Amino acid sequence: MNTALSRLNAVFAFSLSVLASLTFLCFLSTAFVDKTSSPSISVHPEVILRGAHDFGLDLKDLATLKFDLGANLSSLFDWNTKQLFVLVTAHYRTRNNVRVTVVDVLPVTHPLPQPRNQVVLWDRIIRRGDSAILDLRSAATKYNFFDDGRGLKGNQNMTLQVSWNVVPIAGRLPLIWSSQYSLPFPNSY
Amino acid sequence: MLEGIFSDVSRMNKRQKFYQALNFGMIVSSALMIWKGLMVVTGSESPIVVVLSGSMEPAFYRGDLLFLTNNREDPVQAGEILVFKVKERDIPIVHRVIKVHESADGEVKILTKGDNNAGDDRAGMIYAPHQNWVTKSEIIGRARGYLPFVGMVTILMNDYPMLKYVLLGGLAVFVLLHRE
Repeated sequence: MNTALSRLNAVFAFSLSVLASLTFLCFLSTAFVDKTSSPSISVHPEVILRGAHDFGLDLKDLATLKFDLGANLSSLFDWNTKQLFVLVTAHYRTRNNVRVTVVDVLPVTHPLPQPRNQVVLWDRIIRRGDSAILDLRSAATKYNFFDDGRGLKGNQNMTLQVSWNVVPIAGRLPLIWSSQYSLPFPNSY
Repeated sequence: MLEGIFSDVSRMNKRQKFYQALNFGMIVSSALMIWKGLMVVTGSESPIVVVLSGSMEPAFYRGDLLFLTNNREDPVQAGEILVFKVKERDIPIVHRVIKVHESADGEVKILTKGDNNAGDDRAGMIYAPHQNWVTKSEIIGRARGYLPFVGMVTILMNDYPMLKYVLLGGLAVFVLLHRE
């Protein structure tokens, strides 16, 4: 039964399985690569606080700050890395929103942030082929830093943390938490 | 060629024909069991989803496949990619978490944004009217794995229903009539 159709079918099935196993090998070859790095982050002394309305919601604390970020993430790019999504996130506890138990599901090398207010302040996409060197000096935040209430004033457990989400060509999508910077907030608006 | 296939059937006796039908049922039920098994393992009601919009470009394009988990013990983190449903929208949304506020009693308020969108989903009217946050009950899963292009088959089948019938019908005919 060597018809043209059965040959076509065989060729199609074979190329499909070759593609599938190559993709799987590609995933496997980078599945256990360390995707950590240690960027530097710091905030300029002046954090300005005020109360403001966020999109028609109640009056909330709004903070304005400028930060420095230095990182060389070139080592995170391998043949199975499509892009990096780099974030600067503020973590803090407030009276309303407190620490809860966190089950560590990621490897221990990636410390999970504990306080349960997380606000992304800045992000950037670094695509494959782009320069993976970040050198930000006194950069403004990309998003408004609104609290979910009036919990920013005098907050002593504020931490900024750099993280990145590795987007592969095929494979896992890890979110890796990195350098922290502790930043007690001012006591006045 | 078609005659060749049917001659296979005509040469079967009754017992072999029943066996063939049972084989077909076996394939269908194992596919279902694999799906249900994945649901149990991942805790997500839909462990594999197809990206249907370009709002997460350049990370995900239309037709890419995402593997989800939804472990309740594992809290949602800012920066993760969330798949959630919105009231009165048929298709689930795949967007990145940019805010998490969790209170002592475990109630979580989440704000999301598409990488390719200028504003967050509240400002972008992605949520239902008067909805300010995504809550736990709306979460379908968190993206943990990624496979490009493969979901294009489902998109094509949805766009051209005829293709679906031809493909699935052809597969069924092949399995039922093909003799091992």
